[in-house]
Amino acid sequence: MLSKLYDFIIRKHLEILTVIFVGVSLLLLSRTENHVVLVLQTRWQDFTSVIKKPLIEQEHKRRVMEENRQLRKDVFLLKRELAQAQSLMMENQRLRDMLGFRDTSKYELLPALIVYKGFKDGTNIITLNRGKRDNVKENSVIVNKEGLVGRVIAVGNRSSLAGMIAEPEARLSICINPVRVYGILKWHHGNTFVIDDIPTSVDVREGWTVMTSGLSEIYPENIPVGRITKVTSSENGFTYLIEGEYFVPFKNLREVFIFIHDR
Amino acid sequence: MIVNEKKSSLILYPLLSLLFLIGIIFNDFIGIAGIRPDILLVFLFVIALRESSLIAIIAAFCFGLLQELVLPGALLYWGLSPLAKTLLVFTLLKTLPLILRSQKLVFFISLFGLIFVYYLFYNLLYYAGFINWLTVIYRYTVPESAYTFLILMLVHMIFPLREK
Repeated sequence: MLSKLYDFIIRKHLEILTVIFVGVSLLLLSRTENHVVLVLQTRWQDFTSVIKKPLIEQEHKRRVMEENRQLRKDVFLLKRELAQAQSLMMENQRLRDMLGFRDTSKYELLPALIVYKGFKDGTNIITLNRGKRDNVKENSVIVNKEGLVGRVIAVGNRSSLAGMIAEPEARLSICINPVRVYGILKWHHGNTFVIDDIPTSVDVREGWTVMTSGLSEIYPENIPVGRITKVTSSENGFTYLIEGEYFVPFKNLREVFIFIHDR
Repeated sequence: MIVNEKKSSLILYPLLSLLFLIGIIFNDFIGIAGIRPDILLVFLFVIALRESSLIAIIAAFCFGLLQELVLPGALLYWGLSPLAKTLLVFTLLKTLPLILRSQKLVFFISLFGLIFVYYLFYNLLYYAGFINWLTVIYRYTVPESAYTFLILMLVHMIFPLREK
């Protein structure tokens, strides 16, 4: 009996191993978030970030020089706007003092380079060149100059893994400006999102901006997220189906900022 | 003859390992317009064509796991690479006697076909729900298959794949 079983295993080892491996793979696929995997991935990225550093820095240098040329042009225009802004800020400060408000920006922005954008095009996990050594923590918020990018999901010593908000599972508590109506934003496709729980009793228009609401435990309020591009009534007629476009071009992201800690 | 084969393996495997390390560490830099080759797949083909079926199937699963560990992509699909690679190598091993007996051109078309089917399976699942299937084929599957096949051909030029 045992020898027959042994013969069978020897004869059919390929099929048996395939079934076992397929089974294990399907088991892994059924688990959407695995923290052991995240830790291992972060450790590996920590190791490779040292090796890749010269190449990344070279690439970064080239881009910075290109950007520098463009920025020089923008400086003149911005200087003019700055003068206006300073006057408005002073006015704002005076009004805030009158109302008893305080400065609400309590985060420090740490610049970070994206050192790896995933094995496949369009992946939602990115690797940043900042880690525990730079005070990065799990759930630290990531932004770029256009708006919200995502949050840190695992931290290594020199690098960290971050999840972007443009992914099928992501949900974001938002606020539509200027009406200050709250809702939940979901990724749609490409660089677009949908919001489908805003009642039609509220006036919502194309072109209005979407910001974080501050109701979430992770994202602070008033970080720009995107712009509304289409407003239609849903099938039941009670809510809107709002479509919009993220401010951040996720596909072309290279540099980001990480919110580090309270000032 | 056996000595020659051993010598060839002594060069081939370190070379493939080096290629593999370059592939995984500098994966971002070898991409062309977002299209990256799967060096592990090339390695797997070589193993499947030169080593025993037991080694090949274990390598397929382990390489799949390794790929997902060192090349983080979407957490949602953790397990897809070992699944796809195991199925690919199983199919390759089952069809191998037929493929090896066929003419040279048919042999290469079969290899390309297998790579294409692997990418089709992987990409259709990976991009399911958010990219149209036709786009998945022409934007990702065809170029990725071609890029990987090209590297496999480069390896073949140095170490012929049909010698088992």
